[in-house]
Amino acid sequence: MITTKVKRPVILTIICSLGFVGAFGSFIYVFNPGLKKYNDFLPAFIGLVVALRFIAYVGIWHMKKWGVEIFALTYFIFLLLGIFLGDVYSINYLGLAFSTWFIINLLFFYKRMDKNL
Amino acid sequence: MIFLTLLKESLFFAWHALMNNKLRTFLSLLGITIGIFAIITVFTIVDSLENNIRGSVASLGDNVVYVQKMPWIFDDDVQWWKIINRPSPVLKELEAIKLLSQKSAYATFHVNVNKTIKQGNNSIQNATISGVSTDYEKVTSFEIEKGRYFSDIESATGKNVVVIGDKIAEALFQKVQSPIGQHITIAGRKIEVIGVVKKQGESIMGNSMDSQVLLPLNFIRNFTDLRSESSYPFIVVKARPGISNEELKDELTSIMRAARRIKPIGEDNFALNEIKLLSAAFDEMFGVIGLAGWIIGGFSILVGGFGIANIMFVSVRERTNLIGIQKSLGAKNYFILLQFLIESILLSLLGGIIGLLIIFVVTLLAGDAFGMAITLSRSNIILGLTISFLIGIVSGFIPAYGASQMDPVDAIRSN
Repeated sequence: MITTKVKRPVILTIICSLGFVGAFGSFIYVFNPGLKKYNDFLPAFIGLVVALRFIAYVGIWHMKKWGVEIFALTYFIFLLLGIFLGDVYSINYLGLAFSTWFIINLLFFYKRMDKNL
Repeated sequence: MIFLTLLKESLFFAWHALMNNKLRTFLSLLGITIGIFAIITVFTIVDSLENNIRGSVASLGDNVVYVQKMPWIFDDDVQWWKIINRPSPVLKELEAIKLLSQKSAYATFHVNVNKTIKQGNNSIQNATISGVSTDYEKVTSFEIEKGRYFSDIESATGKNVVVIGDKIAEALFQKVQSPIGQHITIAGRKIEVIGVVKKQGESIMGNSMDSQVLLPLNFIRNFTDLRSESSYPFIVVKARPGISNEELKDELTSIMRAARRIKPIGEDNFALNEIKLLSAAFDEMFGVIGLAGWIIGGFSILVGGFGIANIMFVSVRERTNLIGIQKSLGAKNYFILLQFLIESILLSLLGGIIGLLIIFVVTLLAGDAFGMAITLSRSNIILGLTISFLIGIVSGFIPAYGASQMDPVDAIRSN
C-alpha cells in the first residue's frame, strides 16, 4: 500500500483548526441534561457522532478521503437529529452553515486527497 | 474473522502495555476518574434531589388548589403590607366552597399546631399536630398501614381519635406494642390511636406523613383557636375529574370574593396556590444546577482527556521501535492504529469505571447519612461509561493515527 503525502491547502488548515475547537465545544453539549431526560442512550449517540466528527477532522487534516466521507456522514446525522429531535437537539444554524461551506470546499480538494488510511 | 483476530491481538497488546506500566497507567487514568466522578456525582445529586422534591410535590396532589393567605411565589413588585394584613381562611369559607362549588370534588380545612405528645414514659416535644376536617384523606395521597382513618361521625363529633405517622409511632411505641387502640396525650387530653400511616421516607420539603399527627378538626378546636394565624389555617380543594386547575381557580375566586364580600373593583385578599407553581420554580432551579454541573464536569473531563492524549504520545514514542518491527513484519496501518486506540479506550474506560465505583460507594454512604435515597441511576452509569469510551477515542486517535502512519525503516532506526 503506497501512501502519498499531499500538501494541505491553507483554507483546509484554517477550517480544520476551527473544527477541532468546535468539536471540543460540541463534546461538552453531550452532558446537556435535556438529552439524558429524552433518552438514556441519546447522549451516548450524540457523543459518538461528535467523536466521529473529530476523527473526520483528523482525516481531513492529513488529506485523507475517509475524513471527508466521515465528515459528510456526521453532517447528515446532525441534520437528522435537528429535524427529528427539534425540542431537545435544536439545529445550530451557524454550525450548519459552517459545515455546508466546509463540504463545498472539501469537494474542490476531494480528488487530490489520498484514499488510504 | 481476520478482523476479529486482529482486534483480539490489539487488545492483548494494549492490555500488556498498560500492565507493564502500572503506576503510569494509574496516574493517567486518575484524570478521567476525577472527571467522571465530578460530573456524574453532580448529575446523581441533582437527579436524586429532583426525584425527592418531585415525589414530595406529587404527594401533595397536582389537581389540588390551596386557598391561603400568602402566595407561594411572590412577584418582584410584591406589596408586603397588603399581604400581611390579609385575613386567614376560616371554616365559613370552607362551607361556602362546599355549598357553591360545582367544579370541586372535595374540600378540607387544615390547621397546624405544635404540642408535646406523651405516651407512657415516651414523649415528643414540639411535634406538629394537624387538625383536618373530613375528606382530608381524599385530597392528600397517603396510605394507612395499620388501623383506619377517621369515620365521618368521628370527624363531625370531634371524637378523641388520632392517626399518626410511622416515625411518631416508632418514637412513642418503639415497635414493642401495636399502637392501634393505645392512648396518647396531647395538651392534657387522652386520645386513642386508630391508624398508622404507611412509611413514606424523608422529604426535603418536610411534608412527609411520617412525622404527622392527624386529629379531627372538631377535636383540635378544643385547645386551638382556628382563627389564629399561628395555626396556619388553609383550605385544600381537589378538582373533579376532567376539571382543570384554572377552571377550579376561577370558580374559587368568585366564591371566595363573594364570601369575603370584596367589591368588584377590590383586589383579592387571598391566594390560590397550586403545585404547578412549585414545579415551575424547581424546574428553573434544577436547570441552573444542571447547567453548572454540565459546564464544570465537561471541562474536567476534557482535562482528563488531555492527560490520556499526553500519555498516549509518550507511549507511541516509547514503542516506536516496536511499531517499526511490527510494520516490517507485515502489520497493517489499521492494526497499529487499533492497538493504540484500544489502549487509550481501555485506559479511559478503566478510569471511568473506577470513578463510577467511587460514586456508587459514596451514594450508599450518603444515602444512609442523609436518610434520603441517593441513587446512581442507569442513565448516569450509561453516560459515565459512554463519556469515558468517547474520551478514550478522541484523546487516543491522534497519537494512534500518528503511530499507524510511521515509516517502518525510520521507526526501527529510532532510539
